[in-house]
Amino acid sequence: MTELADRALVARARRGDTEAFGALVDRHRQRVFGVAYRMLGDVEAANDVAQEAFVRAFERLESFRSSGSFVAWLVSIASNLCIDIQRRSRRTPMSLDVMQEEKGYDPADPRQAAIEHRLGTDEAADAIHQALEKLPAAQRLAITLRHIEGLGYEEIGQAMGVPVGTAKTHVHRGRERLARMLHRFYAEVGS
Amino acid sequence: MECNRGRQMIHAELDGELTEERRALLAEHLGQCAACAQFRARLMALTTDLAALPLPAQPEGFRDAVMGQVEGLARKRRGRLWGLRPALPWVGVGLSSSLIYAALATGIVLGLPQWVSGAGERLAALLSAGHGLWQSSGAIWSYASSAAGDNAPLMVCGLAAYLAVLAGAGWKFRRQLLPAMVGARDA
Repeated sequence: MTELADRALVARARRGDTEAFGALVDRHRQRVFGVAYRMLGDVEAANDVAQEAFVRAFERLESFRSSGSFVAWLVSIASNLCIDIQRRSRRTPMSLDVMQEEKGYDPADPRQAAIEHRLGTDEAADAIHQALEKLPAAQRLAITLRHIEGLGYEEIGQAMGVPVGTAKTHVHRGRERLARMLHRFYAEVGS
Repeated sequence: MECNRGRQMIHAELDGELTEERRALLAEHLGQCAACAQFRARLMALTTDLAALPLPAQPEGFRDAVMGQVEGLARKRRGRLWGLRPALPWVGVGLSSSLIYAALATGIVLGLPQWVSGAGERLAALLSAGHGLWQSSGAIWSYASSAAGDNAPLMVCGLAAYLAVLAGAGWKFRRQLLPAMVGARDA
């Protein structure tokens, strides 16, 4: 349903309807920003990348293949921009202080419940963020797309420009690596 | 079952790709292997926590910033197409006259042997594969030469008019089309 709606909006945007493109921005801005933030760990940089990704998508709308997923195509533009930035700046992982300041923690958000209930503190979210930062870029992107953004493997493969099997391998290795890095937080789980 | 196999099945379970039969095999293994059971529980907890990770609020003005740039690009695109409008009749005249004269030139080249008495038949015999083309281009030439009344000055005048139109189209191309194309490439 989402893909069908996206394709209809893309078709209108290709005919010069900028309002249709605005609707695509509204539908996917959060996801593109989210992926850029998980990749870069910086709100301002992620916001700039998300903006640039949408502008580039508009410029290259003719090159989008209607048979593919628009979200995956958009994410591939954003993730390539992130990789370029990382290559240029050789970013070091964000410090815990900056992460705490930027992560926009809202105790009223029900999504916090899962983490807080387990550990009784928001320390877990910080630890997971930091562990994510330490993953190789491909695993970090694959984990972000699969478990944070909830994309299917077909879409992840398309976004990363790799076969579905490779996308799965990145996710599986990423999960195991994260679990190893976070063993302290999950020590009581399942024991 | 070996633990490696069990862990692959745990990943498949997390991906929602485990059949009932394999699910039963996994359950049996987990009942006997505490390490794999713990591995599964931790991965389950990790994926739940990942899905619940908070995302910082996006700075305000995102949509306006994007749509400002998009509107600018769309205006530029529309402006380029509108700017090409005056050149379109010239392009049409240039293209259609080119097609007519290309047909005539083909007629001259391929139909010339027919014009020279006897040579046409010999060439046609040698190039049997091109016979149809030779015949049709010969027909074009016959028509063009009969329309000109075998009048060479008239043919020269026609060619001169064609070259003039071509020069006009070229001038328009350089003044209007070329800058627009360069602009599109650089944008």
